[in-house]
Amino acid sequence: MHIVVLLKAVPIVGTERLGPDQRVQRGQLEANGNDEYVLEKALKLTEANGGEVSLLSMGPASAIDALRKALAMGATRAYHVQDEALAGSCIRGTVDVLVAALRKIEFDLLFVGADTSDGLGGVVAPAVAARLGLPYLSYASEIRASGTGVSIDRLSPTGFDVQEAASPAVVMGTQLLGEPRYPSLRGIMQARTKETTTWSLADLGIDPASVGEAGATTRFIGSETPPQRSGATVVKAPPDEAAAAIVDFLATRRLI
Amino acid sequence: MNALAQVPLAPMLPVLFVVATVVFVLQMARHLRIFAAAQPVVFSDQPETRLRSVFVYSLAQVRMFRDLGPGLGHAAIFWGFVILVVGTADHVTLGLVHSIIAWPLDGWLWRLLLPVQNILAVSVLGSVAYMLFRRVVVRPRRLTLSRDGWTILLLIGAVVGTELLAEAFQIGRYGDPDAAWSIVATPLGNALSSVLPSGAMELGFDVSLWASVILVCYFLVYLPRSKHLHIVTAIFNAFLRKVRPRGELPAMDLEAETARFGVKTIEDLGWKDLLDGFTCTECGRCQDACPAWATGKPLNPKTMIMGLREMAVGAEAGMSLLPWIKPASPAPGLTQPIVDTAIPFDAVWDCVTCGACVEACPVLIEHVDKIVGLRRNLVLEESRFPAELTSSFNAMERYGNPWSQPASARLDWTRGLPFEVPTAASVAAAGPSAVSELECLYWVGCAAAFDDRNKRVARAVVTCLEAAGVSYAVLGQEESCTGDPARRMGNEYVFQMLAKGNIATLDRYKPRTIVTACPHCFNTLGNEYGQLGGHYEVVHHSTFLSRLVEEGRLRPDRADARTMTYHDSCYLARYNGVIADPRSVLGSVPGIELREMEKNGRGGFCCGAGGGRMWMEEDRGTRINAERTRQALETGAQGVATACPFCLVMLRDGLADAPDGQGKDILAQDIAEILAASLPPGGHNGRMLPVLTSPG
Ligand code: SF4
Ligand code: SF4
Repeated sequence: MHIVVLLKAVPIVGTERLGPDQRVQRGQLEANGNDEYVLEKALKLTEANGGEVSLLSMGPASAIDALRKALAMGATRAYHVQDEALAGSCIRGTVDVLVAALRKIEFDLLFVGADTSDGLGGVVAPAVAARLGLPYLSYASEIRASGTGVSIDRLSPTGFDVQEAASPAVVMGTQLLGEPRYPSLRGIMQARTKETTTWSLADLGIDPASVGEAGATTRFIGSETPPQRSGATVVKAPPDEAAAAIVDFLATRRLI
Repeated sequence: MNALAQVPLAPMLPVLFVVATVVFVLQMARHLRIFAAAQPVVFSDQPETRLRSVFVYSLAQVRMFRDLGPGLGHAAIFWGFVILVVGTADHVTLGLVHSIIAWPLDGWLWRLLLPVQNILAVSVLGSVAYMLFRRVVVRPRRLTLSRDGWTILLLIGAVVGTELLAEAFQIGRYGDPDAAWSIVATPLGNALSSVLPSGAMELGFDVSLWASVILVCYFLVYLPRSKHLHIVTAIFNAFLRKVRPRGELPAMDLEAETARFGVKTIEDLGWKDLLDGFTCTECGRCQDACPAWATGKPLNPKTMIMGLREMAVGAEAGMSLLPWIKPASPAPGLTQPIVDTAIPFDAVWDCVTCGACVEACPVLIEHVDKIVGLRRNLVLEESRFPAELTSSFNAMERYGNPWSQPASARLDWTRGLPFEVPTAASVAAAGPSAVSELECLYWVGCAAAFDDRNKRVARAVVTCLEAAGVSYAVLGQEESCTGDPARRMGNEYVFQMLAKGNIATLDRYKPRTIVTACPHCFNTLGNEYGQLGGHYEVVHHSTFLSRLVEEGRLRPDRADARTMTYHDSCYLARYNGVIADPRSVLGSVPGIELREMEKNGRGGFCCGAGGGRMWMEEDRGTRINAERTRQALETGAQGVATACPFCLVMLRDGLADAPDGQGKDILAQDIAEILAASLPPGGHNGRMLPVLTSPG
């Protein structure tokens, strides 16, 4: 079984800063938290049933640290799509690139995290599935893989629904899949020599003008730091009193 | 000697002894073969310190006297044993030793030996009786009633008793030209001969002499398997002790591709660690001192060391006594994981690395390095650790501090101060050596940078520096965690990553002295960075501030009329011996009366936050900080002073949660806050000082 995990390198949560161009700076990056959860599940499945996990990421050169960490967790190899022309890609451009890359890889399952901490679009995965013509199973709290297909528990308002699909298929997972592991030192050392393939746009046969800032279908106008809000009520009290105060606060506003 | 030659089967005495000695040597050699399976360790540094340790800890046994009664008893037995060896040697050589000792000085050496021997024999018997009384009646909690303990005590008593009896029978029956010198045996012998016929006296001599030799031989054969082996090993353990700073954990090469990371089996321990196991006397002093054990957690340093010895002995079980017979299969004990055999998994994580066990151990056993070795293996190879540590590790790796705060927030604590806190980067703008010309670099530490309570301490520290006119700078955004928590949680990888980054920064600025208010930073910067090439002069703020007061650069004059107790930080007092300085800072504030807790200085009791426990849940047993707070309240003090950011937080919380609101009006404060508050208001040496509000 070959599982590909889409992994996005995002700015370290809490340290995001806007650059002079008003875009989020991509200096020090970490793997998107949600992606680590599906990676963990992919590793568990291949450990139990045999198989390999590959990573696919589109991002700047500094994304390699996040990929190495994921390789240290136990993934077998990484594909890194990296090209100057990609900066400022819109969702459609991103989907084009990922689809082109995935066409070069033979896989049984494609795992994606619920969304990314910096983009919050949440539409890349279904779009990729649609373009590849693959079944799309979403909001998985549990994933079971067999030789020929996959079944998941899909979160629903009343509990969960069980869904099945034949492979290849795309599965979007949630944090209910379980805490990602902490890589061992042996894993970190092995990750240094694991296979990473870097693809440029030319390698994928994509016209640079169709992606990036130039080919974007949505346009970035600017960004602003929200004004500091005031008037927050901060409750500082021992746990019992604090809980009571918060309940009162909500009750007086008829929120509970 | 005539009498000896008349003992039936006398020639068998030396034969029996030689056989027992051979069995003893073979058993000891088997221990050494187990040592050979462990990791090599070389001890060649500081020979004088090592020799001194042998005298101080093995011969004078200073640590034994912390508990006076048993200390005296033990000393009597030890010295009695040493001197009585002469008598035994004389018996098994059929009088040869006597002839040799009586040869010089006209026999005076022998004559002087006799009364000493006699007195010691009686004191050994008395001590054995006292020790038995302790085990049976007093029953201190630290002693476990074991068969080994009984066997050893009774054997000692029996050997000494029979030897004394043999001497008495001999003198009573055959007389002795030096009888006048045997001040106990002679009166006893005379008394016996006055009631017993000579045949009975002869029989008494034969039986007691044979009995003493047989008992000694049994002792020799039994010893290598007993806790009493420490009479052989303790001297070596003292010589081979850790002489590097105690706060320096063993170095580790993370690039060694094939190596085992940390300690998993006893083969991964150094052979000195196995010697530790064979040296443990099961006295339980470590257990008594352990805050984790005292608060009902599964960790017990004594049973861990005993467990290691049991594993080593288990490994020996598959080995023949004869070294040339190779075992059919490798001994299981060698490949068994230590965790969950000698020590439960949870217990490995209960340790606050406070070092109280190491400090208490009379035979210089090192517990903490072993526990951290186990943690290293669990973290680096198995990724098995309390779940809450994942986020601490990630935080230190990604943000450079366990608080998950961005570096840009590192100077938030300076906001609102009436003076500028200079950063090294801004000072260095004046020239590359500008920072090294400063009096000191203030290493703020993550706690003081990010924890709201400790930000006040940082403000107090710079207030004192300003008031004294000290030229200083801080690293600001360029500082990151020293890595102490990561290292003590076993994550050597993150430690080295952080340490290398800090060393690169510090080497760029080359500060003359680093001052820090955090004992953990102090210990790691000063004692551990050397392993990675960082050598700095590091001073704790208690030392630096007490010097400023001494030199008259700070003149505290506002009275603080409180009785205070001072809580010693483990990494300050026990690990680094800084005990007087924080007290002298407190003493310099007019009006403060210091009241010591029972456990203080090197014998202090941890606050519960060391060893990375600050970032772990404390869900086993009761809380360590609650226990320490109870001890602090017991002094009746009106304030609790600390000199460590973690102790401060732990005691503040302990006071807030103290039963019946006993801690309600009692503040926990850092010594710098107390000192700063007593500096003249408004200005000092012509400088404006901030108004320091007292922490709520
Ligand atoms: S270091 Fe402290 S907590 Fe750890 S075993 Fe020793 S006494 Fe107990
Ligand atoms: S380790 Fe040391 S203190 Fe602890 S029981 Fe053994 S000899 Fe005593």
